[in-house]
Amino acid sequence: MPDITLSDLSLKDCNLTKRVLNLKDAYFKAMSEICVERPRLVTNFSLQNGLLNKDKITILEKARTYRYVLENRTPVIWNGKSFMKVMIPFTFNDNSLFAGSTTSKFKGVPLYPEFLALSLWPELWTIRNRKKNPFYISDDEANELNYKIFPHWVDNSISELTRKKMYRENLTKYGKVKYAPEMKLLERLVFFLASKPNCISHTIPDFSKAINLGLRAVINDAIARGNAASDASQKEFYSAIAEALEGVISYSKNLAKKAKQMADSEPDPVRKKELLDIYTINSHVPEFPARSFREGLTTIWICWTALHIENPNVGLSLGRLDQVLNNLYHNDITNKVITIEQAIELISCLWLKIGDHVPTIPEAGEQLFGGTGSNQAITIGGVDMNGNDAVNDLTYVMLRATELMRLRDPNLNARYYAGVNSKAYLKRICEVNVTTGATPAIHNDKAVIRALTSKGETIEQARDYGVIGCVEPCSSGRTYGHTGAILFNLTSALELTLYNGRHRHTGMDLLISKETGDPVSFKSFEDFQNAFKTQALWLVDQATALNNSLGRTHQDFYPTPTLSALFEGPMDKGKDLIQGGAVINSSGATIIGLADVADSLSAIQKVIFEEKACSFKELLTAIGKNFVGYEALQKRLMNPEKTPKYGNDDPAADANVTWIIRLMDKAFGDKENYRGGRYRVGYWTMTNHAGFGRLMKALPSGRKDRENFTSGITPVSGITPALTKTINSVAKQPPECVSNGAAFNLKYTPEITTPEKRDAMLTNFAASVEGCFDYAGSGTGAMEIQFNVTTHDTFVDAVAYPEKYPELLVRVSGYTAYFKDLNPQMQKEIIDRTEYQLSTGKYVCYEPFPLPK
Amino acid sequence: MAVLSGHFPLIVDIKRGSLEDGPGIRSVVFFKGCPLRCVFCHNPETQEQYTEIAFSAKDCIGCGRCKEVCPKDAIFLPPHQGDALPMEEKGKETSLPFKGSVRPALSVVEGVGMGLIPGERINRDKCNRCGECVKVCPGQGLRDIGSYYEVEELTEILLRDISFYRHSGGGVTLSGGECTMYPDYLGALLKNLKARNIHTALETAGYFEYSTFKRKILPYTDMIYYDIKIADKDDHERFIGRSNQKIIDNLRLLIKEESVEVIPRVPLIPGISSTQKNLSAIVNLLCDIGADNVSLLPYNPMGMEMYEKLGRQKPLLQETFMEPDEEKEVYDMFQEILAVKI
Repeated sequence: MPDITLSDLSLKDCNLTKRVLNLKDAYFKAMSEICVERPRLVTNFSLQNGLLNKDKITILEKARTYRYVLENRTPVIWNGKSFMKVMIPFTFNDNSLFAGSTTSKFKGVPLYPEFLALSLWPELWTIRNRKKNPFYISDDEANELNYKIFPHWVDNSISELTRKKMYRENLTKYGKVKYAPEMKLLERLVFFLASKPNCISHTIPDFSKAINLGLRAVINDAIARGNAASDASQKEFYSAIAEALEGVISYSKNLAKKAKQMADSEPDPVRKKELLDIYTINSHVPEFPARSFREGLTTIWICWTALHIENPNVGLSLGRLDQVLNNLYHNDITNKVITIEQAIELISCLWLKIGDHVPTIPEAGEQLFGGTGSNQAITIGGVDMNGNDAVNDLTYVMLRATELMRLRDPNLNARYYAGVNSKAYLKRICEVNVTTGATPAIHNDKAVIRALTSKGETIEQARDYGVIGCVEPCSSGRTYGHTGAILFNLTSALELTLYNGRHRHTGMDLLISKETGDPVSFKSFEDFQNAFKTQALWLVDQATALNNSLGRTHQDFYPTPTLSALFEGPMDKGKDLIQGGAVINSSGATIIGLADVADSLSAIQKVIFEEKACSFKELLTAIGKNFVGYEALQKRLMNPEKTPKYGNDDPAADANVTWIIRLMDKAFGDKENYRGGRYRVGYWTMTNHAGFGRLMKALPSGRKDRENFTSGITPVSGITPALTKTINSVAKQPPECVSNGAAFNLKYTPEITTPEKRDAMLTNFAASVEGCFDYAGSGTGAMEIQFNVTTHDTFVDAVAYPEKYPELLVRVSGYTAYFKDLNPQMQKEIIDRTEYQLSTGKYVCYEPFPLPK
Repeated sequence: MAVLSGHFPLIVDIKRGSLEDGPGIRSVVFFKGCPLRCVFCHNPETQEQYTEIAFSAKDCIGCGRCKEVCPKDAIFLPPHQGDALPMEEKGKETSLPFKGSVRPALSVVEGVGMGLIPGERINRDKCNRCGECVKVCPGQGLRDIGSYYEVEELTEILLRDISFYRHSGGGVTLSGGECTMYPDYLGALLKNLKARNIHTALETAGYFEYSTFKRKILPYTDMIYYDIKIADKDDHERFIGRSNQKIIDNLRLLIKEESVEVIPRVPLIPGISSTQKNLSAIVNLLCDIGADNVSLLPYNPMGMEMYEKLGRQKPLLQETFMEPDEEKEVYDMFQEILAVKI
């Protein structure tokens, strides 16, 4: 591995080229457009081949479908037109260094009718005019979806297929038609969400084979293995691999052909040369090994578009690109094939390509996931499989491209191994956070590696982790771990405990789970804890049972041959990923409302059982009335000097957090998934803490109706003026129980008016990260830490004048987003986060931003 | 809480994650008690050695529970606020302990009308500081100022941030009040910290017995911020309450100690310390003593609310910050002779 050769790690003399600036400008100008190409082709092929309304779809049938789509989709070289706000068309000079696109549009919304695309059906004629994040669609396209595509999928989406299956299973089980209770819970929205009706995706493919051997070699390998296999299902699997990859190669060749045609009639010699370069490159890769850095990037890009034809664009992540591409980069630089500036230009072009699509979000989804991109995480830095420093020149080149581009997608994640990675590297990561305001997120290698090995991964596998979606660590190209399978609202478990298993939203009459006793009758805090445990475990049972049912539907209807070809395990086992083909199998849950539940437990423990300052009956009345007439009690519950609070480095409060974290890890960890793997638990909430917060009523923590929950693993805002206390409370939580990742959000004031101030800020910034990753000198600490570095005034101004801040990047809880795209409740949550000043160590106190109506 | 004094130091606050009180990220311990009485004191809560009760009008929700429990009848509520329940709630439920709605705090105008410090809630003549009211206050309207920690307990709290000290080159700063009033306690605490290799700093006004200080505190101290406020002996007595002889003598001795970094520090108080006459005298004094650097504390007129919270009159001082060129003039004057640290 080459050492660092850069003399200036910040590469401040390298800037964006005109080509990139032009494309970036168009990117921010363009509104997202719904693309009907994929659903049209998939529907046509399925109708022609009788693939709808079947009991099962084989992997070979799936592979043929994707090959058909890839061979017949439009090869878009340069898409020089789009629509800007209020649907005004505009053109621009698109001369990206990469050909192809995720959809047929410049910035497209790919539709997957196999999943949730039908949720857009009622909105087809309103979605272009909706207030937040409108999608453009022409009347013709809307009509095509309405008449020719959607009707065929009514009974063929994953959720409907699962519902049908569960009816059948219940008929056998109970002898009568019975609706599955776990499905009913899902539809009540407030308990948990399952994401398998929408996608699996959340994983990192292994690009190394495609780059180093080429897809032709993988096809040949599959054919040979297929010939040698005796098992019919294995033979079918290998045929499917070959079939799917032929489709990928064809798509690249179609792009090459198209580029050649365009070049032949292109009068401008510069443009002609660019087109001929694309022709040469796409004729060669991904079929054959990449010979240059640009070819390596093209291989990744072409495979990436193909993966998105197969896998919905939700959280599919690219892994450790600074490792995968380093040899090609190093050779090109050494042999003077490219300069660093050109490398940055290539990466910037790729970053824009990666962000050329957004997920399908219907109006209702805007509440919970508003402003989300496709959350394609890229990971840089950290250590290699042998534990050596993996930070290289390309790491810094990618940091510089990210710093210049300031894009929401891809979502950059920097790994840091204290003592192995240099302090200069850490300081540089902090600097990019200051310049971009929100990226990269910083991951603690020591804690993450400990977490992954505790789940049975070898030390080498764990060291090779990449980040998926928001913050979820998984061994790159080895772990198939749908990390966002279950979004679990922990506050609903608390409510079930407070109301004896009944549903608070429907007048407390409806028994949802089981009776654990009226809390008024509880004699001790342990009684309450036990009841909570019972309710939480019951919900975990339901959520995992539902996820497993959905997973089995995926097994019958949605194998993923392209992803399986680019992964470690399936080729050896002769098994698709969905059947357990990966080296490591897991499923992931994320918990929403940790701090709010923990603080509620602490309040109950202290105020009711220890001090007996208030009865349970009174507490229940108070939260039932949203503390109206009980302001004194609310004040008492919220007072961190009298009621222990998470985030105050208070041992009693932090112990309740640890208790919950251990409880959830055990509850989920005991469950087996449909692929023979185990569940892992994390704490990252995207915008769900605002979305769920909006639905939920007052809590014993003192939080009032509809107020935001707290993000990720972060303590409630404003608990303490001391930064170190907040960090310690998080850093002391056991990483081995947070193996599905955690988002710890902090906000720092940018104090960079002079070079001296800037340097002082970066020094303190880096020290705060080091402290966070080394709790009380123990050597490990928090799994991750992420930042917003933007002034309060900017945020407040951006609420009032969003058009002034099109590129204002924020860290939500996990992914990055553009502030203007967030719903008002989420904007408030970011504005209200505690802000620390690194020049003084003081927090800056602001009035809470008004709650949107 | 009983009134503690003498050898039992009370602590007003442990400020963690500070970046202003010495190098790096630090924890700062504010001890209660001071032998001096600077008229411009910014932290009046650190002057007395005993526990005091602070009332914060802006944090009071007017629930009236403090009045109910006060054994000395020292708490008063504004006259029209005698009624704890809003009308619609009356008679519905019996008096559960937390029942009761918000009442506005005593307004400034009302306080003045009653002949008291604006915002006051406690009759300090009657109050015996038993702290019963603090116990029942649901929010942070009433607070105890001053808590006792065993040395080991305090050490444990300070060690919680050890990784921040290490990674930032920070440590612990002991301040006050006058922390050197408790040499045994301080010695034991500092010894614990040095055993864990933590950087230690003191902030002192220099009014201590040198031999005791040298024996018990100095061996475990890395850095000292040493206040020199007024050079003239009479002015010192007038504004500070005691002679400055001991302070100057101690600094003279301390500057010769090899083991510790001493930073003389001058708070700039317009009309008191920040006069041409006083500042040039301080420059001369510092040169005479052999100091090679100095730190200037710019005047801050903010943060004097504590006087009102403790039921005392705020001192009459300039209410604005110093003008930038005024400040620069002072800096330049020192800069000519000494290295000025900020």
